[in-house]
Amino acid sequence: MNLIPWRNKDPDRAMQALMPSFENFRTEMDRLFSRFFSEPLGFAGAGRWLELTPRVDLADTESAVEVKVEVPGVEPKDIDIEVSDNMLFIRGQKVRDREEKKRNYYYAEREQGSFSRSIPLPTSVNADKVDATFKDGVLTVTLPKKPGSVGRKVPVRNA
Amino acid sequence: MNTCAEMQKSETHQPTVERVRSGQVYRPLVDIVERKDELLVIADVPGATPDSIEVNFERGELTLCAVVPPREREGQRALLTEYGVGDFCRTFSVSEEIDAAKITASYVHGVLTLHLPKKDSAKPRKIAVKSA
Repeated sequence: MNLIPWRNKDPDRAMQALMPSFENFRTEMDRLFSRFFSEPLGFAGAGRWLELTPRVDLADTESAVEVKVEVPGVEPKDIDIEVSDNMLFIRGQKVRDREEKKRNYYYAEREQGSFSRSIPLPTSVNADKVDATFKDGVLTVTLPKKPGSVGRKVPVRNA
Repeated sequence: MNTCAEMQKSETHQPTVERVRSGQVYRPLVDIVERKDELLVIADVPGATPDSIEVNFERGELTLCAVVPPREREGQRALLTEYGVGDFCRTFSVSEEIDAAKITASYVHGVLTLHLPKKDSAKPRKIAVKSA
């Protein structure tokens, strides 16, 4: 096969195509380290008897903090969210439909059971105005920042 | 499979296909269950919308693919990116006992459920014993 993939024709473009992979690589490494140090027994031990820890995305915008969690198969009513000044607690239950004994499983890869996660927030948030939505298995929690904690631009004067 | 209790997605590599979109492809985690008259394939595809999911059955292979839009990063500073966002794709070989024309799919809360009904010839039958 001598065909050249279209995106490699122009070196600039090829570089651009590579950039996301570098970012991913960095994320992967971060994840690897944090997993190793956060699990009680490192890679080897932690088993399925532990509570599940969903992975989160935390983004900082000008006026709010946005937290996203992938929790497929959860009913919105089974998700419990609690906010204190600068901590967010997410708790929930993935339906254990696998308990049904009559079924005959060939694969059972999907995680089931209860999960929880506490996420420290980078700033104080307005707990009364927190909004949470659940769509296609992704939970999005938007936490508006307290007015005082929104960054203010400081102009530099000519002296 | 994965030994840790974290909810984790694994990457997939499908070298035979040249993709026109860049980015990671993930292998959705599945449960496959056999019932009396059907097989159930249950796949976690969080972030996919119902119309972005494609299920194909061709030459005994069942392929499910879902396109997931990349993260929007405009005006945002990422503080944690613990999970990857990307398309989902996975292929299964399916025996001839499946009635391909009657495969149905449903999607709710990020979980795709495929019903693969067995052909009549493959369903268990009870044979009545006649007394002679």
